[in-house]
Amino acid sequence: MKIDLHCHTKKTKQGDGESRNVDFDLFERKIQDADVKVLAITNHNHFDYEQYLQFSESQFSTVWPGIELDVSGTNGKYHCIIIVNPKEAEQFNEICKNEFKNKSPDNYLISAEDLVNIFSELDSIFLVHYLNKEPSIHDEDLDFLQERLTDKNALLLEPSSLKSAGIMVAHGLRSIVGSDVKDWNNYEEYELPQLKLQVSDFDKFKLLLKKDKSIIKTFLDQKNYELVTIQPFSDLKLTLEIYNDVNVIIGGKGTGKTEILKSMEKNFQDKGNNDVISYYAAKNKIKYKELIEINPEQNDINVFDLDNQSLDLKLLLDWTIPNATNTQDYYNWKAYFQPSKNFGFMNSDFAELISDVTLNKWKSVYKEIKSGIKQILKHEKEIEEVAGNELENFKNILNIVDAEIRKKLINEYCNWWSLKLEKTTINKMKSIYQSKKGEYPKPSNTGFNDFFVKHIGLKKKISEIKTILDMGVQKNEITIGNLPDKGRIYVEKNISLNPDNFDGDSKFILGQGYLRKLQNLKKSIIDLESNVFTIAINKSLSEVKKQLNDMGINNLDKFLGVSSKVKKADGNEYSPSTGEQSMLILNNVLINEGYNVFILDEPELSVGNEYINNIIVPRLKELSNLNKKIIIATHDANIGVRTLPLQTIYRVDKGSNKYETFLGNPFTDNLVCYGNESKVLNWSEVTLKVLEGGRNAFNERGVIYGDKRN
Amino acid sequence: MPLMKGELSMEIKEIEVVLMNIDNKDILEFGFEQPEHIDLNSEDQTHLREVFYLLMKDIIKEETKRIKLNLTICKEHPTTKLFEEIATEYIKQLNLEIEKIYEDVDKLREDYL
Repeated sequence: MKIDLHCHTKKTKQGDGESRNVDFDLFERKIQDADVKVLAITNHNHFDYEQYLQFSESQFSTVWPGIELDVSGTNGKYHCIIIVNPKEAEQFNEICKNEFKNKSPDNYLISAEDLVNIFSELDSIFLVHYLNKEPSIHDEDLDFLQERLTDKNALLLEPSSLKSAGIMVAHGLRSIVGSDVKDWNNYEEYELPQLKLQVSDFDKFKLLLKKDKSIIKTFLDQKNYELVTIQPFSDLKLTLEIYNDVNVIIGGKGTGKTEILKSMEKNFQDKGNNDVISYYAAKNKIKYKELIEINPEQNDINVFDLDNQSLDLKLLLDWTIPNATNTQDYYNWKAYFQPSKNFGFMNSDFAELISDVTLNKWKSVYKEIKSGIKQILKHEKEIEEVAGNELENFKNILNIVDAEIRKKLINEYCNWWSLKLEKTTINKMKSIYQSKKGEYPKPSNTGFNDFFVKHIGLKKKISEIKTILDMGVQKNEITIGNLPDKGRIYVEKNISLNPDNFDGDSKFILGQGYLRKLQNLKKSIIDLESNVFTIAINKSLSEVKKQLNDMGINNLDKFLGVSSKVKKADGNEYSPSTGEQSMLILNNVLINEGYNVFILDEPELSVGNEYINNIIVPRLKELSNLNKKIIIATHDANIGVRTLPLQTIYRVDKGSNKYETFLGNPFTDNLVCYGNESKVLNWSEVTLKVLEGGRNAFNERGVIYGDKRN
Repeated sequence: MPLMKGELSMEIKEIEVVLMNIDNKDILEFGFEQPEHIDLNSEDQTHLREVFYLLMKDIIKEETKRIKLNLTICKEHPTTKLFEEIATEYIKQLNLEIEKIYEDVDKLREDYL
């Protein structure tokens, strides 16, 4: 639908060319050729009421009265076009007669203040020259107009070209261009904007302005709807324009609205975009359970800030009681010993027995220092606040400490390894000598030191395990929405590795039914710790290993469990009512901007008018501004009307299992029968009749319904 | 009065180890509260481990005393010269290893024992 809101029909100023003059016949021919459906007559500083009345008889276009004024702003002159509701054409004429009395259009100049005072009382559109459309308004003067104009006046900007208008629309500026026709002979060649939707009259055009900043089809958004073909019933196939906006399905109960929705959802899902989210009020009970359901996840372990080595149970699983050196080896050595001149090492002991205690000490020190430095530097900003420039020195010292301890650790590691290599080498040589000569070497040691060190290693590991399994509960809060008067509602997720922190309702990473088993395992580990230095270790260790193997546990992260509680903002536990549960589920659907298609079945159910008006309707508008496709089956007037749906699908039960489908919107104010375009209903009347809602809601919709609500 | 932990010389707790021959077996009997013995001719680890556990228990328990094994030869049940030499070497090495453990045990005691 082409529209021309800046159109001259007369030469009124000396600078205007003669070819701006047009008679009714040429006007009719040209607007028919150009296919312009809405046109505003906006001559320079002049309104010819008689001509307007004549031209408004056009059978091809709706004609609105208007004028283009020279305005004196604080930063220079600009042009402002005023287009008036045809219902107020006579009043507009009186104002113009009074204003232009004894003034020539050539010399006429109105101040911005007078412009507002004189014309803002009219139901009107102010269209000002902007940017490269000279003489253009300065931003300061634009701010003045924005401040002073009221709800009765819509303010639009007119750049020099349709392309500029498109760019401005893309940046959220309400803009449009007109022909500013200079030669009527070429009128059809002017580039004119197309409206996104057909509008029936001035009121509906302003309604469209109110809904959407981008009212015109620009090169940036030519495609603002998608043709969707669905077959909700075996005898009904529909091809519908589904807008990147609010689309509603209305009609009495049992007219198949939900089936249409489901069919629509399937259609979008089948396209494989995975960007469809749906809400069906009838499924709320299950959906709420899903919403508050908390399961343990592998990355929950991160809340404990533990390293992999601490969690790993390999040492425990692989641990066996070390062998002592048999006394028989000493017998063999003494009984069969023959001293050799060449192989003195056969009788050698090791200068040092190998112990990893010192190495482990430095490992542990380094680990703690490293972690401590990391913790400290988390508060770098705060340290800088109190220590200022000393922060850098402090960081340098920490780096030196880190480097020196690392050096020490590497040193210890080298010592340990060199001893180990020495021992291995000598034993190997002894073994080779023994096999060649049939003689027995002196045993290097009794094995007691190794025995002791290995038990200490186990004790250390078990102590570490026990500390981890005794760690407290870490809490995570997962917001599930906000409720009126209650504020934020969240699920408190209690994460723990200690099975004693849980009850039967808790869930474990291993699955259901592991509470008792994990508790028993923990007991066995504690039992093992007390038996490390006793002969009973064998039995305790076997028991722990058996349980670990039975449950497939090789890492402490398998102890991960969670429990949950629904809480409200004040931290107290809370059980939302059925209506509140619906609000929370809806909230979670509507908040998801990652989806492009929102399928909503009766979102109004159980939530109350206040929630619909204050939360749902504004959110639907936000989503429509984000170009999301929102398809809603509803009985609610606020949702069906106040969201200004670009598509309304109306289902009518004709009895005997026969139904009709009508399509339309509030801007055309029509609903056209699908498959029978001659059958047309009035959108306002239908929505008033079909949709339920509070009296207040209907009052608020006065603009949309006009006088019909009375 | 026993010396405190960390002092240079600590009180020694001697555990008597007696070498004897009983029923043609050369045995080392360790004088723990409940005496434990090992057969020097056997390759069985059971008794060796039991002795080691009892030794560890004493080392950990006796914070103010140092354990030292003292070998004596049983005159009533004498064994051969060869086994005397074996026992002497074995107990000598065991004492060396116990001494080595004392170098670490204080550090360990703080963290794990």
